[in-house]
Amino acid sequence: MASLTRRKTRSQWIGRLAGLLGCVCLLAAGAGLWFTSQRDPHIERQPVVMEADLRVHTVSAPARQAPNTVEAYYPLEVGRYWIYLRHDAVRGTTTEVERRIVRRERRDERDIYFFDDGTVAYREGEKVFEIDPEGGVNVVLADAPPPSDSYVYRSQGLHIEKEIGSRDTVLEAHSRRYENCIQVVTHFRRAEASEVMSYASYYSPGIGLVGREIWPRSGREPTEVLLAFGTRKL
Amino acid sequence: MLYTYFAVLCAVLCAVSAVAETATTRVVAVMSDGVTSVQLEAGTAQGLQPGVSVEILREGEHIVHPLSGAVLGVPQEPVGTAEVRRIDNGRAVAVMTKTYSTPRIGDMVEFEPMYPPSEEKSEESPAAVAQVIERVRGLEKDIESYQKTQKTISAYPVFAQQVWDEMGAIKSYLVTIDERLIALEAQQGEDRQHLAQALREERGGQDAREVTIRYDEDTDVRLQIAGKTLVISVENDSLHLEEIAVDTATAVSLDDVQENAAGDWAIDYGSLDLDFDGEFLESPWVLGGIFVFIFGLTGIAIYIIKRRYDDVMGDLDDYDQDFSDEDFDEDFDDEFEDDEFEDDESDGRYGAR
Repeated sequence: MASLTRRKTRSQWIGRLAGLLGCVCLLAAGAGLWFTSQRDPHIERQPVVMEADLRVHTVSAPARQAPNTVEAYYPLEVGRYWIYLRHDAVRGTTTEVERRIVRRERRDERDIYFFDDGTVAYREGEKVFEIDPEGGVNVVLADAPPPSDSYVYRSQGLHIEKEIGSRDTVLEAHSRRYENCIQVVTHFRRAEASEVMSYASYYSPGIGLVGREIWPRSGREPTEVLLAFGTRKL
Repeated sequence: MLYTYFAVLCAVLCAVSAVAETATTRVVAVMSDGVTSVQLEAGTAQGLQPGVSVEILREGEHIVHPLSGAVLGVPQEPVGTAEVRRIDNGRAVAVMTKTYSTPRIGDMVEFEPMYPPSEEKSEESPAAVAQVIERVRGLEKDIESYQKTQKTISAYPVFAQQVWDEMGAIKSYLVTIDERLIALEAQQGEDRQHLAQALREERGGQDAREVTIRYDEDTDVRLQIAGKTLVISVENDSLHLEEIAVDTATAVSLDDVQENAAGDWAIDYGSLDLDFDGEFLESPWVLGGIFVFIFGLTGIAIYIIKRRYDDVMGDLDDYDQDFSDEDFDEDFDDEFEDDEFEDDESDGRYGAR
């Protein structure tokens, strides 16, 4: 009789323990769902404020090793797009514009990428040559060629010099943070003139151009800020 | 694009400030006697003087357009900088002050020309020449003022033309909107007709059933069911429909119903903020939550089954125990003998009471 009572009591306790465990599991499941809904990573595009907001910091120690290849700083692939906010200080206008790679063509053993605005770009060595429809040439480089640590060329009557400023720049633009950006400072002047204008471009690894501003900084708005980017593929 | 911006900047720059010009020449000889020096093709006449700093560049392979083959630019590798020390036979000799690579004959040289100040002529101009100069200056002023006036006048037609073009664009835009509205109205009418026809066909093709609900004396609500179609009609017009206040946090309004690009209908549940697509299920937290939820339900089910089992088995055990107990047999016998059965002496036989 006593053994039967003990057995009955034991089985009751096991049942209660199982029920308690079930309740605890239900509570844990509810807490997990709530926690997941709280940290649901909705990547939404920030509302477009027609104001080029760009903050640039140069950190002393890079967070991680920055790449030296131009493929990393200017990824070229069909479907990739960038939306920029361009501020024209001369005209006083701010324009939102999208650039998109729409086609790739293989010619003379190199890939030529076509943008929707008529620009063509191709990679040659550690440089990307970007040619706009008017024939202007922009060279993107991830590493300054020795020994002068700059790349100089002449195009459309302009004498243009590109040099690497820093490799560990952090940019904050429209609530986004871009780390390990490379700063490329461009000095240009008319070929027969000596007055030099400069601007700095910032390229983020895996993204491309994220910002451009007059150099040296004068407190004015940047000329170009990245709003959104991505790849559209069918 | 970008170079248009650069060109505008350059133009402004040139208009605002006086720009120092640069000139170019070539290296014609390279001398290396301890110190590397170069002989340049230009001399005093081209603006080279002792002390002038020059930049030596080497042109590389031309930048050509990948499609048209047009030459668009020339890379210029910096070779170094040099300082002009003397002028020999109309050619400047410069000593390298900074060297990136060894200079070669044919390298390009850039410099800012400096000319010695010209000697002022002290001769007095004749009176006639002075008059002519005065007249020319007056004419120059007149021309400048005329050009300014001409610019102002010529700007008005351009502005008027721009306004006219803008108005034309707005007009065409309005016409387009009007046409689209008309087309939309026509489309809406067609859709209504199609819907009514579809309802009629569906109702006519199948056995329609009809239910009339009498709400009160003046109100009859008729429900007509045919296939998958339910038509609700109010026979009398005294039925008032009132909107029920719905919690805005969970209400699904018709505005949230959006047609997606694929043509399917999707409902945006607004503030519920639950996205049950693939990413939601891929989250380890969600998978863990689902697993724990199932485990919990299983535990509760086990608990209930176990409890029920214990109840049943407990009763059976009690029954067996009572049945097998010796006292039970004795009591049973006693009861059987004393209470349950009595000797019916009158009849001489046992009978159940």
